Amino acid sequence: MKLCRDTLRIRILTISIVSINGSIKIPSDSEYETLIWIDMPKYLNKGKSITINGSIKIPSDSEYETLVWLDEDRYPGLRRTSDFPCFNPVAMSGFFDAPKAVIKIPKGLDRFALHLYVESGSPVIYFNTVENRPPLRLYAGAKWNIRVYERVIDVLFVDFESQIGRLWVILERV
Amino acid sequence: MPTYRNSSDERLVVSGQTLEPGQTIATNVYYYIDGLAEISDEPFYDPVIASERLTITASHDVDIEIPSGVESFSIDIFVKSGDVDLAINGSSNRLMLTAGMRYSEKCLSRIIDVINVSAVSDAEVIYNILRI
Repeated sequence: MKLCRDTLRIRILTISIVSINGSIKIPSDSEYETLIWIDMPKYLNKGKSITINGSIKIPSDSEYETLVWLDEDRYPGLRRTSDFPCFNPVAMSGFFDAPKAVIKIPKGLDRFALHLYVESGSPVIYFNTVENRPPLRLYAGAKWNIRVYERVIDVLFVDFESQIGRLWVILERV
Repeated sequence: MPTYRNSSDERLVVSGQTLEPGQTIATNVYYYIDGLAEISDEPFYDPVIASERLTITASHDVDIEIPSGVESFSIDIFVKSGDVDLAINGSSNRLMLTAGMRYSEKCLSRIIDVINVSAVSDAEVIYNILRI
């Protein structure tokens, strides 16, 4: 799938009907095309001053960054000048092996979901400092999600209870 | 919950609160703001209320008590080995779990006060109680 397409084709692989924006129903295992793509391209308005979504005014010869993929046919004069920086829901992802790991939450990431999956072993996870008790005790096969709306977690210390173990971590922007 | 001091010569606004030069603030949140100096890490935020790895020999039991004052929480009990049965709030209807099984519940009010874990065979059990 290319990022810089005018339409986005996604294949829904769910086992049931999916609803988008509360109204569009997509049957399972079917394709859906949409003009909206959540990246952050830059646009340059080479035409007259225009208004987007009824409220955002883009003066002539000015640049505009948005999370929404805009239809250039709908806004004459608007030209996409850059596809980047793209929106990316993943701030960090990877695995950490036994016996120990330190996972620093990237600076500037204040709202995030912490997704943990234990591939093997029994990791014990301390929040912000190893002195912070009790820790989170996980086990092989455990899937765990913690959602944080303010930066109350700054760093994670992972201490496996044995010499073998692997913890997968995904930090998602929310 | 680190504590910060406004080490700048200017008034800063931190978490909606005005901080005069030299003034300190204790907050749950980690901030990276120019002029704001972290003077203490404590006390620390911890999403975990309680957690433990239990080793229970056959025919013995352990009570997992929700700490007092905790109203909304999630609890996750995982049986790593052995067989146990659970009695929630002293109920006689016991929930049987074998190795690899888990019981989890999200409680938006204190509908669970205590869970009794009784080992049918020697068992290793891990539990976590988290804030929600």
